[in-house]
Amino acid sequence: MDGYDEIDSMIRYMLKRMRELAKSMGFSMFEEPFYYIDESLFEKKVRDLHQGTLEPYITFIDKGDQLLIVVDIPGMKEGTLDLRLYEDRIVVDAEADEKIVREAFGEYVWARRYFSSHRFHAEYSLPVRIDPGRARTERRGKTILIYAPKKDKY
Amino acid sequence: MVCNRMIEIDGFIFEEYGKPDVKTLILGLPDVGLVGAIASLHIIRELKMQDTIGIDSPTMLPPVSVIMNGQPKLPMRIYSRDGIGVLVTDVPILPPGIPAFSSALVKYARSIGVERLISVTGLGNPARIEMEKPKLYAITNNDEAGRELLEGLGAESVNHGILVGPYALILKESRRVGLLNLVLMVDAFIDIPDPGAAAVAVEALNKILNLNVDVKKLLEEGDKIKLRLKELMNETKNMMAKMGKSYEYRPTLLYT
Repeated sequence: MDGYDEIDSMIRYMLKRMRELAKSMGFSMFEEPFYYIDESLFEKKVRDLHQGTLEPYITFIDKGDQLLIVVDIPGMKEGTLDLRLYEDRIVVDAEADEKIVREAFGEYVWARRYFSSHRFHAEYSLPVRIDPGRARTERRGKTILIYAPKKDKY
Repeated sequence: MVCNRMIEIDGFIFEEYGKPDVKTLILGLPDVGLVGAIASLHIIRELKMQDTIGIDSPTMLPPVSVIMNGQPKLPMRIYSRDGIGVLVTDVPILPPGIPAFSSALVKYARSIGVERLISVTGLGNPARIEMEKPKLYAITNNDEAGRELLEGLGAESVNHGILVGPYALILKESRRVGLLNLVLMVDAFIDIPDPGAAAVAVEALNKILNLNVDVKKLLEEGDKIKLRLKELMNETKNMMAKMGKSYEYRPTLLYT
């Protein structure tokens, strides 16, 4: 757990207590529309901006005895992908094509850090444990498909 | 940009910057794969449409002002040209605001003489990754008029299923008041912006409305679009979870 995770955890705890307090006083914060804005998205964005890294898209598809991990890295520079697969997580690093990054965010002051680092970095926990040694990878443009056999049988 | 007229309906404010001339209104709200939003932004850019109506709500939309070319704009806008309007939003509608927004939009559309609404969205399909060209589906609240629009499109009718979110309520509300609503859905990634699916939607709109919008540029700019829409996709995914989008992925109670 890093410093950001600790702050995130504290904020979540405080919000939980505030909601409980509000409920005990006879009104609900759940009726407040802005409650629906997920504050963790802001925390995450601030972290990415400080690091100057772009985040790829990732989605998991259950294929029975396999987990299909779809990693989409728009604007990735060819030949720069570094993908590490573990039993319980995946780490993705790649360089971004500076031209595409500038075209995408050129006019925004907050995005200038991306222009100097122009790289992707992300680490995700996997929803199930997999066998990285038997995983098979396919490329479709900037999308990487990883078919990973599940380690645990249910 | 000077506001000529301002109307408040069900907590939503509609600002008009001229006399609205919209007979067909395309809805590009953020949803599965951001298909509607991406298709809409492409049509607006290619047809060089102008924003003629702004929409806001102090309680049902996040407190934002969108700055474009140095000008402050309302978060939700209708761009139009030659009787065709396209509605887009820079922020997703907060779930408690969805019923009021859907009702307000249908009432407002009728008040300015809109004759049909075309909702554009994605149909989350885990097999999307294996598809070269995603498939088009359609739902309409008026069999006769809807079928006429769909002729020659090759769209598959959705006969069973559950629709969740603003498009669901707009479909019900427009049926109640007798306004034609066509929902175009394309196989799409659920939580990855899908320019390929949006291109299929644009091609369908080309046929229905004779738009003649080229999708080549949309496909070429796919990476740029995905980079730009990362945060909107995250926000939309969060809202979809909170509005009960999971209902879409289960069977209906009755079956034939």
